Amino acid sequence: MSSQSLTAIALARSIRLGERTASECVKQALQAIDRGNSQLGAFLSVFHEAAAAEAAALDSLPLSSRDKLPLCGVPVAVKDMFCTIGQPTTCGSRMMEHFVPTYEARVVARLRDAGAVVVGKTNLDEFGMGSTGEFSAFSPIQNPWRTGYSPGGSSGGSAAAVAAGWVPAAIGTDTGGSVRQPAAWCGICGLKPTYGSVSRFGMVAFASSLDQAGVFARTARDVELIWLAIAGPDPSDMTSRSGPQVVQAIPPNKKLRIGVAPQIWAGKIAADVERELQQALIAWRQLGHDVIEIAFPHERFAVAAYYVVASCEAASNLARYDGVRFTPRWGNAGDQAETLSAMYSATRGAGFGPEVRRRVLLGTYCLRQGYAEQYYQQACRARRAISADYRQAFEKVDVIVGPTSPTTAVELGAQRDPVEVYLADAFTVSANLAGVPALSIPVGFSADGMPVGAQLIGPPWSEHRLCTLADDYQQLTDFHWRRPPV
Amino acid sequence: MSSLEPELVERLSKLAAIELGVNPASEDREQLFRDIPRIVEFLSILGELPSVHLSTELQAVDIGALRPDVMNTSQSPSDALANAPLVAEGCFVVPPMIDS
Amino acid sequence: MTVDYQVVIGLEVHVQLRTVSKLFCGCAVKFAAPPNSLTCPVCCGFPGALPVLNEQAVELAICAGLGLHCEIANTTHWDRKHYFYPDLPKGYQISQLDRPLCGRGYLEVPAETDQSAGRRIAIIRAHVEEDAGKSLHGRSADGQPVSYIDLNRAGTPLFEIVTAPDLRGSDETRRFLVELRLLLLALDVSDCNMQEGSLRVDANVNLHLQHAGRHIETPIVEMKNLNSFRAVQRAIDHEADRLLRTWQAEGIERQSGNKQTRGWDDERGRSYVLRDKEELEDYRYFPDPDIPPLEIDAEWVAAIRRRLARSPAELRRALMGQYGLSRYDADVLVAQGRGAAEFFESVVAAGGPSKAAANIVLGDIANTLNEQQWTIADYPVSPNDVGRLLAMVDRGELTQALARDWLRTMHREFRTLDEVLSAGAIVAVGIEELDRVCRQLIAEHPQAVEAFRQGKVAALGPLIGRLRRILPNANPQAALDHLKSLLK
Repeated sequence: MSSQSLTAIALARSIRLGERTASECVKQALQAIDRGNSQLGAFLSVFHEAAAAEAAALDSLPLSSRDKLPLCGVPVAVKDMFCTIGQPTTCGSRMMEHFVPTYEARVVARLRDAGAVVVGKTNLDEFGMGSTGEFSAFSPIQNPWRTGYSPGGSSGGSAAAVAAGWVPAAIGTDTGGSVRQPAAWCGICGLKPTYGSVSRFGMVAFASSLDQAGVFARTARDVELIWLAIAGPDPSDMTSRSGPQVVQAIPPNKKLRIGVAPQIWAGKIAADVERELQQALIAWRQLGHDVIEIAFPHERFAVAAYYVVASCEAASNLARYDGVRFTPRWGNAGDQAETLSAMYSATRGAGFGPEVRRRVLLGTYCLRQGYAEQYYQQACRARRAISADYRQAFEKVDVIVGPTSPTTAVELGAQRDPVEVYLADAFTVSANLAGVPALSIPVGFSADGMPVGAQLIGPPWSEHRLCTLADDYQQLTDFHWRRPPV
Repeated sequence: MSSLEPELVERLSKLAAIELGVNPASEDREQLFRDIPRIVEFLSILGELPSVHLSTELQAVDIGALRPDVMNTSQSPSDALANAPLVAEGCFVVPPMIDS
Repeated sequence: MTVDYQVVIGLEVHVQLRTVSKLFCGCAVKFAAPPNSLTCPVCCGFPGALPVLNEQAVELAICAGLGLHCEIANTTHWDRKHYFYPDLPKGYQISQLDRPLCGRGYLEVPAETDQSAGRRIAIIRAHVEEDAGKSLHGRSADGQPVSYIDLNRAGTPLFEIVTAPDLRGSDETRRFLVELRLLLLALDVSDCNMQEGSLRVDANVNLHLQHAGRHIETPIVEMKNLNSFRAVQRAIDHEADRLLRTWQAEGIERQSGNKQTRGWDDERGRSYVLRDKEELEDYRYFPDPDIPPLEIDAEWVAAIRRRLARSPAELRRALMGQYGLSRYDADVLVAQGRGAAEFFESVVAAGGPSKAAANIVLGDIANTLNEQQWTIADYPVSPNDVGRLLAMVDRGELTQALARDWLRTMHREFRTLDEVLSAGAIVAVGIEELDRVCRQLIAEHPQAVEAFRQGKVAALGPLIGRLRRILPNANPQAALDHLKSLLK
């Protein structure tokens, strides 16, 4: 059996037991990337030598000392938003094209500590802003299921790499759905964990209060394993937290209460998506779970609140890209600016792509003197109200299930209205606003063969519950094992 | 669809320090005139939120989340300057900050 | 035309908090290190780096806030203040806008004389923020003017104190600053070193005048970055003159938008425009999402309050009340700083009379510190020994002059009082013994006594010689004085 058809759990187990070597697994992953990347555009950089060396180092470990490595030898792809020492970290931006960090993101360090081998950095919408991958400054990303279609965004490269079968797992970032939506469009699992469960240190910030590193894999069990490897409080991130000491194991055959809020999506999602979602709910009912309708009174404010908060924080977080310390400098006198203000405005005008500029200007619009109350403060209040909606809902139900995205993958290159594009995030942004975990899993295919995802949302620190419910479903179905015709 | 007054576009561009129209990838100015008012109109739904009782504060932490006053090793000056576009004398070099 | 006016001043004072590491990262806080050698991804504002708040900076700020009688917030948070400048790495400064750590308080400017009352100057607020980096200006290799950025100072913790416009005139402003500096030094929250920029002052100045039966306020001038108390005083005097002349010429009154920002050239003694009018400054403040709001535990504040050092005002009261010093001596002693006052108190505790203790601390010891460039902590003689020495003088076992000699020997040779006493070189002679020997000599040398009584003071010389043979350690001057007193 090729290592590429194994889960991360199975792969790590067989390497720990010495049944196969990390080197061969990593080599197979690198070869697959080398063969397919020119077509998919999923990777921005591939770490041939470094990954081979790390794999060889793992292979030289005695079997006894591999026990503590839950991801021993597992090749993993990381979105190019995470700093990697000595390896380029571009954020999909011209601004960061030549940036080589001297420090490592905590997520990357924890992956390595768990025995994973980072094989490369994946393509993305610039600074995580976008939902089709088309805002990468470097190259578009193809959906492995159909050329000419988007893999979703912003973590499109990571999703495509897992969907193509090149790596069993990948890391993305999710600010408003950037892990879950591409997971749905690519037919794999994608987790946005509880805010604060994974350190943001070394993860380039888009919107600090919403950003969270997320996990892609085929199975929900793999997702949970990798989340456990990267989660944990970090003294370098004041917003990181520790969860409950003991994860409540869910007794087998425990009946869960599944909440649904059809009034939110009714009439707003594609018929194929609705059909597959209903099928999934039937499956869970058949597993003995109850499906209960819940209310979500403030949901209609979610997208607007999200775009205000995210844009304000982005405008602020992206102020540091200024042509002084770590970015190129553009100017009106060749490559050098003659004046300070020319240095700033030319560098930021030329270095940022269109969507980043739009969001920075939008954030500036919302934070400017005299308007912060109307936009930013009001968005924070909406956020509070949405969090309260979730708290109340989770008094009645254990999990909320709904669609991840209103549609399946869209075609690349189509002209789209920005508000329509933003509205497509309607089902994912509220989990970021409330800081709760959410998992997208594949639940079927559209009539034209594109994957459909469903989203499971739980209260803070319920990752285990979400993954267990998803795992129950994946025991009955094989959507997660279907392979795209790359 | 209303468009943004040119003065406001100028002001936002100045505040955000983003020169419009230098990046050939898009026709910023025209797009901005079109997009921002459209997005802002969409955001106006927030005005309907009955909100007086809602706090805008994030979740607080206590002193335990703070860092003890301990000195760590700093990066080397060469690491500090490693990605800089222009350096001299161990410093980042920029256009003059004062009138000569 | 003579005009009746008052010069009205409000201050914004930035003091560097005395921490080992920066406000949001572990880089050292040090002056004059090689450029960019005290930096890390956090204080350089590199992508993905996150701030982690320094507990000691908050504690020192609470301590300073309590010293200024400020309310301490139950919950506080940090905001981002946005502007682009090369010495500001992140494009925003982490500061505090609407929930400062310290709220309203006051500081009393001591009265100039014993008779007049001190004046309470209201503190509007005080908060904790990060400093920017430093810039140097020069020319590049090809002769172009450029600036050089050094981020060693970026992220250093600052405490910004904002006063109400309660100060009147440059002299009171200077006295306020002197008192503030003494307080912050006493609380040990800052070294307040103005040369190194640990204490920086911005002053808002305008005139309130009575004209044609009407109260008039002139436009406000904000004077930036005044680097010495002398500069503060001179700049205010200069601005008051300028504001008066401008008002007399133009008659423009204060209104929103006509505040001007000016710099002060202390060398040339003149000010210059930095920013005309209130250019629409728009800092786009919002709460920093990387730093959760901080709950300040009341128990923590109470513990800091219990440890709080005495303020200069309290110290002054104690020196005058408990020790009976004059207002002048108390002022001078307080101005020497907390170390000197504590030294003084220990001298008294060891038996030194308080007046003598004040004299020696402010006299001989202060001179020595000055000559040697020492602080009181460097002074090698313990206050206990100084106290014992003064007690001996008080008991008449030692003359003032000899005590001063001994003190000099002790600090020069780093010897304790006991070492000096037991070395035998000079052992104190008891007054009873001196008295006995003097009486014996008077009895044995009637001629010399007679000559002295007839006005020949020198006639006692041989008696002193004899006395030194009997009592080699006796102080000749003390012996002479005693002889004279017996012969009166």
